[in-house]
Amino acid sequence: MRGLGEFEQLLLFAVLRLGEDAYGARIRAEIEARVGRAPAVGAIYTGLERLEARGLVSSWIGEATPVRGGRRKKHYRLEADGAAALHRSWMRLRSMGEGMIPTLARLARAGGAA
Amino acid sequence: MSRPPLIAGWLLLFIPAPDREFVAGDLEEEHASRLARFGRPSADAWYRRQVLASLPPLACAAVVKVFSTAFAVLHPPTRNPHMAAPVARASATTGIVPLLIASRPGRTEGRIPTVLASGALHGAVLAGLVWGTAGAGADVAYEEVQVVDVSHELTVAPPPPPPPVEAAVPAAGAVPSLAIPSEIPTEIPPPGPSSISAEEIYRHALDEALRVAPGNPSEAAAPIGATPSFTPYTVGPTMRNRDAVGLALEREYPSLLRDAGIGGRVEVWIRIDDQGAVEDARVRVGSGQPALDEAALRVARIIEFTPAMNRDRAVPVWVSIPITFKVR
Repeated sequence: MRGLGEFEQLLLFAVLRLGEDAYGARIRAEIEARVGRAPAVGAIYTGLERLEARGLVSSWIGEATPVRGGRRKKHYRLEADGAAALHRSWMRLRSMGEGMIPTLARLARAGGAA
Repeated sequence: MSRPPLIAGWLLLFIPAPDREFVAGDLEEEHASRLARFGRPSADAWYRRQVLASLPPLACAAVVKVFSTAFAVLHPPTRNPHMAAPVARASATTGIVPLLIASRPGRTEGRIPTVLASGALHGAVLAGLVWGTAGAGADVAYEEVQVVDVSHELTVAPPPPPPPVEAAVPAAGAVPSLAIPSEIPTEIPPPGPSSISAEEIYRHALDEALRVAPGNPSEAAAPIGATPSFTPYTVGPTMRNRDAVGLALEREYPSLLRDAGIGGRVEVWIRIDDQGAVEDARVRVGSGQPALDEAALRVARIIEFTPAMNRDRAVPVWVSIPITFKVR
């Protein structure tokens, strides 16, 4: 199975963090708050649909609220395969980066100054 | 009147049906929230940007879906009608184009129309992919590396004196951190060996810092006279956003001081409310560098905690956390 892209990892972590509260608007806001970039809500849905097609997340339709103009929410839940894929993906990156972060930061700073 | 901009709202009609309700609801919900916080011009501008940025990826996904199902109908992998039927049914739900194609009679007989339609569809799929790549630009923007510079650690004071916890409660406070638990055992080696990596020290330091709970009541009362009195708790607060705090440490370290190799240790009092949010942060023991003290306060204010619990009730508490900026 192919690995996860960075945006997919962000999505899965957001779903994991938000738990029962993981629906489009909250997922988008969570990524924006933590990563500092504002993804389009449309990109959130297409990304999650890809993940759902791979069996990494599942979705269910939640309740409608007045603040949403009476529209329903689509909630996502991390599946066991999704948790395994995310864990694997994260650990791979961590293994490769281990001990390299100070060097990386130094090089990045040097590049920024040049 | 909290309605989002009307014309941008109409654009939502271009979003394929299954997603339209959820996308429109999400946008309206966030618009209302931004309206309350930032005012109408800002909220409306945000809404328009979101609608425009959302159309390409959603439309692209729909186009790819439609044409891939249409392609499957035109080029059935097998003559077995049981295989083709579900594809045709699925395609019929996605749009009118595959519906028309799927229902066209005698499609395997008319060679030339089939070839033409097939060529057009392949072209459209290619165009859709190109469009999709352009739309995915929003995703690509995330590819930049988030560097946590561990050369500046949030280091920790020597273990705080055991908090004055009622006897019945064991060290439950040290357990539940919302950080991904599965990785922690492999990340934090036993203390001692000097081969420990910088990143591990950093993680460990953060863990320790957020286990804190040295809300020592007698100490707390003295330096912060004007603050609310100490509230007893049985489960201490733990940090929920370690990664964000690591980034904040890096971001807030004044670059002049960092480049000059000047570091320092600041002990910060933090008042955490019963939701786990930082309500107040004050310097308890300064570093001697006002800029570092300020930076430490800015870092402290972005920390999110799990609320401290007193038995089964979330309570506000004061904790003291040492924050150290250090250049290796």
